[in-house]
Amino acid sequence: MATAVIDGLFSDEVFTATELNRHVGTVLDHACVRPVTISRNNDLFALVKREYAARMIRTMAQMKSALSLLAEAHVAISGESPAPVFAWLTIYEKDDLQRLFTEVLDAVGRAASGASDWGDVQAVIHEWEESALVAKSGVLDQAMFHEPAEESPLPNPDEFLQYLEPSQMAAGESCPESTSQ
Amino acid sequence: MPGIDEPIEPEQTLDLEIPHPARTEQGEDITPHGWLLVAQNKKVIKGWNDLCLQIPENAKRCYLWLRNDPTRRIPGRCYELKYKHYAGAWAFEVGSGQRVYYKIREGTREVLIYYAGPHPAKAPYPPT
Repeated sequence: MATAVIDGLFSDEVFTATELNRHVGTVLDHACVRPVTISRNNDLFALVKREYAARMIRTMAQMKSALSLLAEAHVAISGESPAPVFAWLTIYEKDDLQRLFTEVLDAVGRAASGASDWGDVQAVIHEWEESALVAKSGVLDQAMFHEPAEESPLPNPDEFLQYLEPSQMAAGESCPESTSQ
Repeated sequence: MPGIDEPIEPEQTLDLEIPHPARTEQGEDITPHGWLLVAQNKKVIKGWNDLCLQIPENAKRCYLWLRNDPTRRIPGRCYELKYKHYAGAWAFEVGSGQRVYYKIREGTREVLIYYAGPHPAKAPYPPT
């Protein structure tokens, strides 16, 4: 993953600018395999495949995003108000926030080591934020703790949809309660 | 799995692997019909039917997923809610703006749907 790319910068091959000019094909062939360094006077340049560079930049962005959340979670744990963009953190109590901290940190660790993708980190953060939004809305509290229970089987979409007129399907109009099974 | 910064189009079809029901050593289905999906009340059924009309393919896949393996996580799509007061409750993101929330009853192999419908109204963040 990106970490391996970064490690690769320190196990590269060095070419001079003159060598690059004279043997550009050879240098690029090496750059396809691993990062190479081009030296010119006192300056050093890294030459890497664009996809590696893109992955490194994406990794940095994801890391920054995760660290911002962790910093604000730390603020919330200490009892202060997090930045407005992370205001959803305030729905959680201290023990919840500590669990969030641990889960996100674990996910970051796995992604940084290459054991998982950075998408998994974003998924964990997304799940915490979504859970906060549900709690904030109160719809699930209402459904779980206050609404009457009149249980009945959930309609199978295939069976439900086959009885609809095509015009209803196209319109996506709201169903009357009598359509329930 | 869609990234956070890549909103899911409401009509986008979920690309989900639908697992097969568990089988005995003899190859017979332990639960030939999977889990039984139960709506808590008529309000849930109405919300579900509306959802079926809006995004039928996604609703079908959600239905199959919940029937076969309701506690199998799909990162960012099907997951246990984090809020401790909802312990044991799961969310399924049927579309970008549609949600199903449920709990399972292990003993009877039932999935009790508490909510099916639009994404709960979001509080304005940051405050205006």
